[in-house]
Amino acid sequence: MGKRRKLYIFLFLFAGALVSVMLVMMRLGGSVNFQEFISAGRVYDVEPARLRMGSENWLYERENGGHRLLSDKAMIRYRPSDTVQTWSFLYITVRELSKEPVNGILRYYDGENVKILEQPITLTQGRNMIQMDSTLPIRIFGIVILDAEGEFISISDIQIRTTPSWFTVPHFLELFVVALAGVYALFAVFLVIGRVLRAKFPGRGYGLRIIRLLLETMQDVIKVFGDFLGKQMGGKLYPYQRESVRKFLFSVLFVWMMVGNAAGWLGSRQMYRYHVLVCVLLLLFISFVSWEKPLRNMCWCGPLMKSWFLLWLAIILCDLFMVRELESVVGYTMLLAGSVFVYFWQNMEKPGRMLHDLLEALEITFFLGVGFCMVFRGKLPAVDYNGIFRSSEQLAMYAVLMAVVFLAELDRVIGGRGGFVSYVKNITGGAISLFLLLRSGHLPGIVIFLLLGVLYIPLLARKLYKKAEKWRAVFLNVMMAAIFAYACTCLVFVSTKYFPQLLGMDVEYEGELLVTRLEGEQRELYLMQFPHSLEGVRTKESAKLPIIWRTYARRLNLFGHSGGQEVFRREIAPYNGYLGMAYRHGIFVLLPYVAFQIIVAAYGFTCYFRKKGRKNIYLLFLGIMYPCFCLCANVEISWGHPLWLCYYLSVGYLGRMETEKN
Amino acid sequence: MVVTEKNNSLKIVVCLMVGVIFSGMVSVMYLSGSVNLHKFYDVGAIYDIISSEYEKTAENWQYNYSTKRIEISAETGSHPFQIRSKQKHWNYLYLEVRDLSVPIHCQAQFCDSGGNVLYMIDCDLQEGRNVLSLQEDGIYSFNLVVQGPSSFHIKRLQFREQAQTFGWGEALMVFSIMFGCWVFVLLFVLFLFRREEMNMIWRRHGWIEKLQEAYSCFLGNAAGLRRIISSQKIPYVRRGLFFISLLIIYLMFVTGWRWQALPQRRLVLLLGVCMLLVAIISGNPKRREVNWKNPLMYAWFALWVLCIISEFVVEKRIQNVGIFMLGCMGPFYLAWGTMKKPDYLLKDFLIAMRWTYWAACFFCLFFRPAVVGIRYMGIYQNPNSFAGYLVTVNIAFLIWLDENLNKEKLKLGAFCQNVLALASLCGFLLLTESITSFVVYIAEWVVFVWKQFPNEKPHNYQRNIRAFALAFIAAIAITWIPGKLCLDHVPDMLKTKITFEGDAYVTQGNPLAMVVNAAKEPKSGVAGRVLSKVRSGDWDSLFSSRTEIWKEYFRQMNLFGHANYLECFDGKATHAHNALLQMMSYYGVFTAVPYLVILYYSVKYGILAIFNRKRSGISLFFLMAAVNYIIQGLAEDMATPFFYISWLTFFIALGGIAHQPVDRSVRG
Repeated sequence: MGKRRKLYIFLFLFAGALVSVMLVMMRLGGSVNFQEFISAGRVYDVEPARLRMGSENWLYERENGGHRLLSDKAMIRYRPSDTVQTWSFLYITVRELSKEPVNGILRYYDGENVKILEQPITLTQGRNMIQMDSTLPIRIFGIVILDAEGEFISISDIQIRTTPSWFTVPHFLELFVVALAGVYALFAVFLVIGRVLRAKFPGRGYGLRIIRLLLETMQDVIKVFGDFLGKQMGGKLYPYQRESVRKFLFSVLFVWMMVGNAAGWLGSRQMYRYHVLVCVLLLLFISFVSWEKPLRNMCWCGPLMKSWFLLWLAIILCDLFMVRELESVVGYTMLLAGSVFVYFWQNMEKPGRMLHDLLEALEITFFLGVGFCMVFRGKLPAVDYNGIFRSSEQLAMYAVLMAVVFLAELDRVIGGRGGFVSYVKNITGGAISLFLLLRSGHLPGIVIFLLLGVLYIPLLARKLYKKAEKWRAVFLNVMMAAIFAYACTCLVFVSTKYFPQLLGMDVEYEGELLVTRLEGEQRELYLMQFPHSLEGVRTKESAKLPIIWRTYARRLNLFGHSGGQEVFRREIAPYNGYLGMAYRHGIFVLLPYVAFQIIVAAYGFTCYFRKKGRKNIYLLFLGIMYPCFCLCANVEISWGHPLWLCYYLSVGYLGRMETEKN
Repeated sequence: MVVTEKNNSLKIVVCLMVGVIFSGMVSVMYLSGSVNLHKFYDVGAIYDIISSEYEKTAENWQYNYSTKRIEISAETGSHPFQIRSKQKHWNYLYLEVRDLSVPIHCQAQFCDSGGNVLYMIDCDLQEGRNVLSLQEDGIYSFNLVVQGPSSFHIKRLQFREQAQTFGWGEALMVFSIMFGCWVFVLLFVLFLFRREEMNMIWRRHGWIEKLQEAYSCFLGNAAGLRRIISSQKIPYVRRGLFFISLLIIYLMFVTGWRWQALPQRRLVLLLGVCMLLVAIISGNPKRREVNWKNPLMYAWFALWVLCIISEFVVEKRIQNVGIFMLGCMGPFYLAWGTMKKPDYLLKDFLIAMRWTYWAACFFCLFFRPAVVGIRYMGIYQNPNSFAGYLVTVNIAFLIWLDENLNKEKLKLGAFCQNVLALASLCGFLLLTESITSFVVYIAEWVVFVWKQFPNEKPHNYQRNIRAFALAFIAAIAITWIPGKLCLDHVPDMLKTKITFEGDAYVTQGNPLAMVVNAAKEPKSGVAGRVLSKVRSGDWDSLFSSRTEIWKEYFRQMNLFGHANYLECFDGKATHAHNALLQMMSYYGVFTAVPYLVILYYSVKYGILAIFNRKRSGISLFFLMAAVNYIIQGLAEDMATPFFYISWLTFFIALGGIAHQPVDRSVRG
């Protein structure tokens, strides 16, 4: 079976799974609702940290993971919303209860914090559903446990909502299996009908024809204007000038993106369009500068280009069904400017040059960024380091990207290209990247880096084995460079710790996300020692993630949403690329999205292990790294993060490979 | 094309237009004392009490229409004024009076929302400008109480947020200086660069050629889809697509979907797809180039690029017009230009228009009764829109007539249909009592009659014109007597009457009369309306208070346009009632330049098309569409995209004249 066929079968099965998920969610929601499959209504989950906090009569015992009740009328209160709202159901999941069952009271408080109703409740171990008085608008509710002084209770989850919840994992799975079987059966029927029809009425499908028409027209239009403008720009430059201009423009583009991210323009409706406009113009300018000879159309009928095209098209088409603010901008810009860039890259005589320029620009901007951090961005004690970005997560992604870039360059150098300076540059860069990654304290980022490192070791060993006679020289160079890198890293460490404060030039971005690992008692102890030092700093806890993912999954629909989702009474990003995409652009955008990721990874693999042509580990690692980050980070930072841009632009190089293959 | 030296006059006019706008912009900013590109005339909010307000009779307050003065007949005369603007906090009241018969003492009483007097200001009125400083309270209405019998003329009654710090006398001087500077800079540039260099710069940017090449690629790629339809079926498909397009425009207006982002996007997309499909099935794949090197197409391209820029900067309520035009109408124009027989496409469009008319007649007859005393609204929600539609459809029937008058044998069915349509259309138009549309109607007939003169008049023509005259009289008799009766009673009899949300019940006689009393009001008709307007002798009445709207639109001019219609004197967002003003307000002041160039060349090429021997009689359409659009655009909104069938007709008509023979374009 051909690779392409395997991919199509996978996508076919995946589409079936998505349809099944949609059907099951609608079944659980009890209505056919394409705006929100599960029709969950308003839902508020109590934050895990809040669950671990006590009250006057609920003493939290850290070692037991639960509360000790200190009186016969022990009460704890929770605030589901900032304004008064009505709620219908309260779900309390009790993990452990020393005395079972316990009786209690549910208290309702209005906006003025005045008790308006008391409702008797009984709690047992497991999930307790309490039907609330849905006519009373409340702001706070309290749980009072009666006659249980000295008893122990451990609550793992509290959820308050306006509709009943029928979701349990086994129930979902049961329904899913049935739905999946049904959907596949239906697909099989459609396939048979399709085959019969095709046999009766030979000729190609119109859907495919239209896609081909769009792709061809797009290429033609790019060719017409590209030749016209390219001749005026790139056509008048010598190759070395072209490279210099390209490097400069790439650097400007990366810097601009990072500046926009830091300044918070990505979230501003008014500024985002101008920010993106500049990015798009720079990208187009790079494309036109790269014009070498009259352009010719490429074969865009391969799976990579198809998934590229369908991904952006799907994002754009959501605009016909949903009024959104900034979500569709990425679709328009990538489909237009991104495609132009990709087309120009694919038309280059040596596409490796563009990749090389891109990597060099990344290196230049990285060292500039490190310099900026050393002077302006001090490390706060006990707080994860954000570097030039707005969150430690973004810094971690950048650090891993840069580590891969330096690793790829080092790989090239070990392969025999470049001298000692190259060793120094790449090892120092890699070391600083690793240092920044560790400073960011982002566990997934560190794990991904380790994974890539582990993958690289056998590749490195193979390479060194092949260069056996030169390994001593390599070893010497590496050792010398490592010593230099160590010194540089120490300098960066000391600088980021002391320089900005010493110079009085510490810069704090407006609304940046500061997180600390200190929680509970540790945090309180730290605050006793350094009062006010953790103001505005959020506690980092992995327990939040499932709730965030659940909240986003609950809101999945057909054509996406506008704006972010509120979790724990504030807007929180999904911390998952797939959920984020499905939430923003509808569940079925996952089809081209996942297909795109698989193909990029596969082509990256092919690119490194091919027999002919230049091998580049960067594309392989980029293809692995991005989906990994997708699992637990907000990786889709459109026009705001170098990793995002590098990943999508890699289509230019990989697409050329695909064209050559076809 | 190469825009040669022979286009110099156009270049000069364009430069002067840009200069006038630029000088106006700078002058207004200088006078208002602030550099504000979002509002050049940045002098705070202004609210004018319109003249028709103080012309109303109140307590001992009479307006003498012959002397145009207010006459106070007793010791105390007063007049209440409502402030309909959403803004209620004002700092100044400007009261400009003329022709004071005697020195007058007056008192201004300012009231809250309940009509209670908040505070009073006494003043002695002086000839000229009187400025009253107001307190901070919100004002909902005010009474002007005048002491003693007197007479005077109110020139301006205006609330202002900021005091006026300049006189308009300065404006002319500043404008002259700015314009002089502009001309000087222009001459300097001309002096610096030789003419050849300038022309080289002009030529190098052959965007229009590249655009055409891109469209051509699209049509070439899509040629495969064309084979799905057999060539015999193409005209029918095309008519169907045109009919759907017209229906989309109609639905957009009537249903209110135009104001909702999603339905609007979908309908615009559908309209674009219709146009692209027409282009695909009509284009000649063997011919890939037409001559678009003419000022009309340059201006067309520039206009939509400016619109796209404006949409990017200011988020519009009606979106995507620039993209629609460049993305869908462009290929349509190209395909039309490449057709071996371009008239076939036009014929299909006119047939589709006629279909819509018959559908509209059916709808009116069975669902929309004429109400006595109310101007007839037909298939729309207000009489002016319906009248605009009627005069646009009238073009289709007039062209059929023009085409067939020379024929030896007329098809009886088609002839009867056409005559009946022309007569009924005239009847409907009279029921709407829209003066603007009536002017357009007359202009269309004038163009039609003018077209008849240069032709040779063979025997067939004479015979047909007599037949037409007789049939027309008979049709008038049929449509105006039994037809009117049916229109009045059928929907009520069948109980099929439909009302649209937002139906504007405008009475025939006095516009201020209550709708319930409309039947009792004296019927005036179009002639009566025109006479009363002319007799009133002031601009406000003549243009039905449009002058106030125009004034407001001028005040709010800016560089990149506004998101929506502007709020005018009654606090409601109202369209500009003028196409040029609407374009300038919606897409920024500089769109006026390409827009005016388009209008000029649409008329010019429309006239030239009539004299083009290669074209058939159907070429009358281009001039008529342009005349219809321009005259309606003088007093109605023809610029808001996707709303009006006249708008679509005009931009479709441009496609027919976009391709110009080379020699003509060189003449410019």
